[in-house]
Amino acid sequence: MLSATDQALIDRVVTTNCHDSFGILVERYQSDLRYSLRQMTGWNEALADDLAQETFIQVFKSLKSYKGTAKFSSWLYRIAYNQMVSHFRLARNREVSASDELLTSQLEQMDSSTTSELDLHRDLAEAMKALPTNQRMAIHLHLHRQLTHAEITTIMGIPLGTVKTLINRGKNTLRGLLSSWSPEDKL
Amino acid sequence: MKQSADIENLFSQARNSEPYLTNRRFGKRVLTLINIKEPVPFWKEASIEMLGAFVGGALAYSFFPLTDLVSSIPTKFVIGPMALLSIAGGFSFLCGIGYWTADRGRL
Repeated sequence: MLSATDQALIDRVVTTNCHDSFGILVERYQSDLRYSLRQMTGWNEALADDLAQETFIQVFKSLKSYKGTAKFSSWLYRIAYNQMVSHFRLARNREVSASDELLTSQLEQMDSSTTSELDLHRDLAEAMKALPTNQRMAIHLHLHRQLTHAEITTIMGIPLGTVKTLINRGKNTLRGLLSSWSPEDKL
Repeated sequence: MKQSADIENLFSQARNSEPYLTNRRFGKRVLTLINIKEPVPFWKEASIEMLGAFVGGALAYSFFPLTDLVSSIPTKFVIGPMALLSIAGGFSFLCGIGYWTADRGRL
């Protein structure tokens, strides 16, 4: 069962409500998704895991509506993106600044692990915080996950031209923020 | 161009050193929450309600004194001045409540 395709596992979940099959899907995608969400949330591990958890629950609920026209991973990322956008919108409405939330969490995490191996990931996440949510997502999917513009269009539900603009703008901002980045500084 | 390549290089470094996040606690938590949050299907909920309504209706029908009720309906109506006045009063009262509700809703 571990080697079954995504579609076979999805069919099993939909027809027999098999939780084990869903567990395999979670196992298969959780690391990538949690890492991506950490990058999206300024390396806020708790928030990223909460969003990933909500994403998988949402996926389970709406698995019946998955048509299989797009890759399962694209569909998963689309749901995660929507979760993230609504989280930040709610946080803004509650007047709890997302960046304050992130900063607190980062300070809490600072003591737990300060290994230089993680510095690049954390610094990238920190720099990405300066970008609007849609630019962050587009940049991450393009530069880190190496998805095509068309795939990003499917995930984010925006036109191709907008995706290209978001990526170019994001790159320009990140260039300024990361121009002085050097791994030696961290050692 | 070089700067652009640097950004891409940085992301490439991050991609190559991306840590694998273990699934131990995360996966368990997701599966537990799925069990808790699993909603009762609509058809199940609707059929339970329909069954309850049917049983309730059957019981009520067997105990309901239908013939007594039918015989108590008056067959002759006499409309006097007092009855007319009462109907007009009731109608005015209902109009008043309607106006008050609509006015309150607008505020």
